[in-house]
Amino acid sequence: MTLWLYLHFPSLQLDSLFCEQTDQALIVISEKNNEVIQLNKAAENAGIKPGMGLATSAALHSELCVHPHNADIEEKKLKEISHTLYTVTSDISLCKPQGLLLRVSQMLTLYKNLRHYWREISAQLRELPFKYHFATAYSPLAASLLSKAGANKIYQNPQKILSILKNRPLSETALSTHQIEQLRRVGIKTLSQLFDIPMAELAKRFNVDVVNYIGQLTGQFQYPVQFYHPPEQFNRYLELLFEVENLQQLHTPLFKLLSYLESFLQERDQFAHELLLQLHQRNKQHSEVISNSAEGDYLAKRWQTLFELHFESVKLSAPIIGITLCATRVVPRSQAGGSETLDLFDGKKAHHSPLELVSTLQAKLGESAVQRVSLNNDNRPGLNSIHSPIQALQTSANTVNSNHVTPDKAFTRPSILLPTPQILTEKAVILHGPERVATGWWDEKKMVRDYFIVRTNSGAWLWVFRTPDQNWFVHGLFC
Amino acid sequence: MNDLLDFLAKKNLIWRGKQNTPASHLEQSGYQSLDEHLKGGFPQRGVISINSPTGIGELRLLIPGMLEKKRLTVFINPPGHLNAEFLHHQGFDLNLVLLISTHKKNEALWSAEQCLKSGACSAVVLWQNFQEVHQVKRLQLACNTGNCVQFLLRTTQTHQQQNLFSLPVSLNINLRPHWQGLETTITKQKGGWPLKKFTIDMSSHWPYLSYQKANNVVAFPHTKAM
Repeated sequence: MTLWLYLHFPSLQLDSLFCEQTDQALIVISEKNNEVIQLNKAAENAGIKPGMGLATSAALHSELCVHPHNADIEEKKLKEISHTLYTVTSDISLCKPQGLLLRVSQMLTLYKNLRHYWREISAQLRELPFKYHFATAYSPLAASLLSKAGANKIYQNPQKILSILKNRPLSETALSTHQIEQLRRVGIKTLSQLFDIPMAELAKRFNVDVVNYIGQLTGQFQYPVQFYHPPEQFNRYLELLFEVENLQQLHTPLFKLLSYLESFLQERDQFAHELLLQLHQRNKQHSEVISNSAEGDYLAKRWQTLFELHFESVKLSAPIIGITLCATRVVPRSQAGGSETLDLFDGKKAHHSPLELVSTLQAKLGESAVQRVSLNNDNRPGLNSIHSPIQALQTSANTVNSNHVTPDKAFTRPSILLPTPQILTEKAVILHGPERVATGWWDEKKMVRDYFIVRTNSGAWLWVFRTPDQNWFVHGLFC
Repeated sequence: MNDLLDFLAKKNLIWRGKQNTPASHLEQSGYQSLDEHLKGGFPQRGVISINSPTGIGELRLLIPGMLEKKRLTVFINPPGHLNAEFLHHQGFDLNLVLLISTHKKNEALWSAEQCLKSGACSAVVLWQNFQEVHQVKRLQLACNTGNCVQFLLRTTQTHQQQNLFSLPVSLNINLRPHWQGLETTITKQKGGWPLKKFTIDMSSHWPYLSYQKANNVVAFPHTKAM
């Protein structure tokens, strides 16, 4: 039998609000029927109870802060929790809207025993601001039932778990009210009574759903579980409790996100090169702040100072209601800028491969900005030298026909070619030439030119050509 | 105070005027007269500033010293298309040549710094006229990290405009055109004195680009003054 641990987060949305002062009464109401579904301590003290209407609760507290329930936020938070837990446990399943199911049995080979395992899990959960209930059982449904009932007990003994489970009333099960009513009419009020009835008998009398549920609850039937594997990218959203108009007030919430990032990167031994901060504004516009660190960094403190430098140039059109932090460029630490070795005599020395360098350059400047030059098997000046963006540094042999390389060419070719020939405007003296190029009749770039090396009066060496109609153009510089 | 001086002297961080041997490693430039004046050649790492008008042979002066086969040579923002044929004839392995073109000045400096400190390059040539003191200092540090040499090619006029500050470069060379090669002045040299004008004869490397051998000078037929 597989042991399962279920974590139930009763006030997921409420706890996720970024909140500094705790004396503010907060409630989350369901959009369907305006009933209170989550509330904090201050609201509870004012006499507000779950299930109350909005009007009643507003009457009980004059400065009540009301948030509509948002399933998206809860799902995001649930994923974030699973990201945190994923570092200590492997099989996690999301039970929307408020639960996480962990498969314990396999993990017990890694941890000494259940207590040790639970200590690791609870240490992770303690870092998070969420209230939670927990319970273990030998079927996912039973664990969920016990956890939602607030059992908060970790047992491994099947008998013990079963005895607790048996005491739970039917109203706590996932059976519909109609089915519970049906069972009540025949005198079945607790799970223990239901478990006493043999399956075959149950199947005769009741709906197939009831049978399935009971089977899955006791672990006789398989309950389908889909495991969730967190993505490898850091992307977190933080909703702000209050609207921020001044970017300096973002200091604390941003630091919170950055410290999540810090632990995320630290656990994976990675450095971030580029972070993207989205500021969600009330008027539905997003402004984005991109911060780069060429050296790569994971420390929250350093990123914080970088972001604060960027904030100076950000203009807001509306107050900010939430922020998202996303690590857009992350590399293993060994490949980051910090890959320097300390030589005893020469001090710090870097050892990047050319490819790493090229990818760094391309990431910032764009693919086309970093090029390689190669020879083309064409005799026409300007066409025999090709610039192409680098895909990979190939070590292919140059496809140049050595026949057409005459020793003379080594001395008569300029270092820089002008992209388009310019009209010669300076007085100059011819020192070498002409060298006639009359070729290319087979395509559109037909060329008839006489090339000369000239020296201008100002001392520059130019590669000029004369066209058949006696116009003079500069084509290259002997830099 | 004396202790401190001793300490710095032991670390080879003090240069004394009577000292003749330069401290850092040198790489032969390939031009004999230049090597003689530099007591051996260009420094193997550090920033070398070349102030020169465009097209008089400033790059040709550097090429023989850059022909290291194993690591990359990077050219940033050259004043036109770099000619593959030229590099090939000079003996470059074209697979080890990178060409970077940037739109912004700061991006050029950033990429130079990245290349220098990566350790994957042996030389970086940057065509840029104006740098601040702190920018050059950063390049200098990057050179030391990556064991690389940075050539800054600047056109002379702008240099004269901002002559007020001396940049923290290892070597500062001013070039003027000359019929046989280049007229050279070394205005700053790490571990050495500034030097007066001398001529680098490039006629053996570039027979067609010097007056001596080119006896066939013809008056230019029609120059179109535009």
